[in-house]
Amino acid sequence: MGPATVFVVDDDPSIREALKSLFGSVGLRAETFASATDFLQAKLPDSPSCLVLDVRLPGLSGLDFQTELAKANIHVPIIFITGHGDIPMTVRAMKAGAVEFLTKPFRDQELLDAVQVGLERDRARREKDTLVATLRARYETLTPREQEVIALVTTGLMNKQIAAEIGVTEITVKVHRGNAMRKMGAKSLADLVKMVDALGVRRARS
Amino acid sequence: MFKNLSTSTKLIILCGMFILSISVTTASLVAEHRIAIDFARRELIGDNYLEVLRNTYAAILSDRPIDSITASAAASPNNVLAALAAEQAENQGLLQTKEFADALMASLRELWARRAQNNATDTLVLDALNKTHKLATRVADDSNLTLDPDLDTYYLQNIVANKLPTLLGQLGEAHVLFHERPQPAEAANEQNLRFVLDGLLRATTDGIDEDLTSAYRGNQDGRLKRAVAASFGVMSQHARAYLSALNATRVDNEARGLIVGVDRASLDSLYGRAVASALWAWGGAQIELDRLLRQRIDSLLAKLRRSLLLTGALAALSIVVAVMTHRRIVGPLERLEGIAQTVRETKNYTLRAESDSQDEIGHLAIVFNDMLAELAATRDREMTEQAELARADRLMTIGAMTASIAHEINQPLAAIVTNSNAGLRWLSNASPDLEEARSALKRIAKDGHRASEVIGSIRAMFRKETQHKSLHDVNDIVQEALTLVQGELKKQKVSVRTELGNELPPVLADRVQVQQVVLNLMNNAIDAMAPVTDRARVMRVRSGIHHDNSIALSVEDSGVGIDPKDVGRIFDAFYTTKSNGTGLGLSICRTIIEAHGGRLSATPATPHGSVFEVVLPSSPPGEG
Repeated sequence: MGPATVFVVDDDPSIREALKSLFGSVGLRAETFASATDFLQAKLPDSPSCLVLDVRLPGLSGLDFQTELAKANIHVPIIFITGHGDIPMTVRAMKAGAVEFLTKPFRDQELLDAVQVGLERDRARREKDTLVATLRARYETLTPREQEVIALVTTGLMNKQIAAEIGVTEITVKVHRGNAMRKMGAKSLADLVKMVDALGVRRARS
Repeated sequence: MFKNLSTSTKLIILCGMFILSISVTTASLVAEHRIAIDFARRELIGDNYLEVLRNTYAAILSDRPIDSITASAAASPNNVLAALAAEQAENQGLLQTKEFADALMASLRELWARRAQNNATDTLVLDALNKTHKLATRVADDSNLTLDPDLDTYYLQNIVANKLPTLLGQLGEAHVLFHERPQPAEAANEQNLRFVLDGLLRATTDGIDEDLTSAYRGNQDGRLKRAVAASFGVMSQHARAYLSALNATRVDNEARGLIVGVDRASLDSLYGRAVASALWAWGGAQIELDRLLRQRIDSLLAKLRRSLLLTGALAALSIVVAVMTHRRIVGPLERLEGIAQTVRETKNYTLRAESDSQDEIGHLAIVFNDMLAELAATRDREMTEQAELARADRLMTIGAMTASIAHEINQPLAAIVTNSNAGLRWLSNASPDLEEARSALKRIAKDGHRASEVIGSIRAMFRKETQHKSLHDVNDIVQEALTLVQGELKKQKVSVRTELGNELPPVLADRVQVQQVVLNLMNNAIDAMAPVTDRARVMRVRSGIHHDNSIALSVEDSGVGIDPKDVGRIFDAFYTTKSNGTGLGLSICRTIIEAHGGRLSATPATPHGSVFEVVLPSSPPGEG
């Protein structure tokens, strides 16, 4: 995972430069874009990041851009900045998941705090995404029978019940269960339940 | 076809048809009356003829001992003949009486001749009486008398033309038979004759009485009875007296004497009285008949005159009604048309049609006026809406402009703030990065200039070079601005007092810019009065000649007034006392006014509020 990056989208070059310098002064890497289109065309690094977005943009407004990003499944935390904000605009942005809504000229500390919050949020999201991806890879190595058994195990059934359910002996169930636990790297049944929850494969008890 | 005729023509046609129809009715009425009048006139001719015949009777019977009453000049033999001839000549074509008249005249001439020779005339008298009676009957028939339509005249003519000749004839016969020389041969029949004669005479007098009764009954005014009752009474009295005397006589065959029981002289005298009273009654009846016929003719003529008069009056009335209808319909309609035309041409929707009548035209005028009022209201509304739109448009311009200006200035300001923060951070880091700090400061300087340029460009917007100046009346600009803020004034319940000077010299100005200043001052005034609840919200707008050929225009409010500590700064850019103000309005206003070579100042008003005064140089005549 690379270093954290702050993306800045603002049509005013003065603001872009000032923000880049401000972020630089606290050791944050910043990338600036003059428009929403430019930002979309850039290749985004696979590292924690957040977006400082001007509400008033040529063409697509910042708020509409926020919606577009959500649709495109890009979950970058957004901090809005605006010269002239009003309450409805703020409410809309915050409801759509914005980290902060700041009015120009803003206090630098507020912006930096908001950026830290955004980066932290993104970092957490990314870690979660990575964990799930690992689990999924391990899960894929299970045989279909093993997957079936752990799905039933996590619903709280006993080995005997599972054996009756799928028509095999209790011994066989124990073997499948042991293999699956080993392959998934689960140290306990509770561990396995958490993993299955994160994967979202837990079967509803019928 | 008919629908294309003008109302006047239609009315004339209607009126003409009405007059024509009553004329036709009247014409037939006149014709009927004429017939009735001619009928009556013909009867009158017969009546005159009968008068002559009465004289003829008098003449025939006058050789007998008769009262002198009958011995009038008209009854002299020659006069009677002449009168008969004249009457006959006059009514030659009208009455078919020639044959009878000629026979009568021949008979009369012979009678006169015989009398002149003192010869016996009995047969001739009877013959003449008989012919006179026939002539009387023919006259009555041919002159329509027997067809008379009225009861009184009918019975009266029956008496005159029929009963009285019969009576006189019978009296004559009686005289011939009983007075002079009853023939021996006839003596045997004498008694029978007397009975017959007695019966006939009675029948005749009774017939006359019956006819009289009927005539009286038919006479409405009762004059007839008053005029003739006495004479007929005398007549029947005398006739009866003569009859009873006659009945008392008896012919003495032996003595061959004439009359026994009654002396001759008194019998003659009774006879004479009977004849005379009959002729007298005839005369009276004749006069009455004449009077009644003339009365009928007169009344017919009067009726005819009345009908004609009524027709004329109706025709005149119909013309009057037509003319009045014309004036009541066509006149108002033409006036309505004129008003509609005028309204269309002048767009003066305050014109109203007069309506003084309650008829359809009056209703039309009322509806027409309502429509005009509605049109005027709609037009007013549309104009207000347009003004509202224009106002919104202009205010949008100011709003958009200030928002844009605010953004333009806010951007460099935000950059400056951020850069200074960044610079500070670069310097306060553990290892201060002077290069970064320097470039941050450079950017600050650059952004500061940029902000200044923005301000400069705003000022340039209102510099003289960019203005489109022409001559304007300040009052026009004020009125227009007042129209534009009308809605706001109403909403905020602000009343306006204007004290605009008369005949102010024009100012050379950019109309739109000055108007924006005035609008801005008015809007400020309205805003300043928004918190006021304990007194009237009044905005005073004054204009007048200031001095030195300049025009002063002031907007005063009764609002909260300006805090004394703010007075020096209210015209500064970005200084505002309003929570949502940009702080540019008054600054721009002052820039505009100064660009026009004028002044904009603010002073507190007494007791409340503030006065903003614009002074603009007026244009000397002939300049611009």
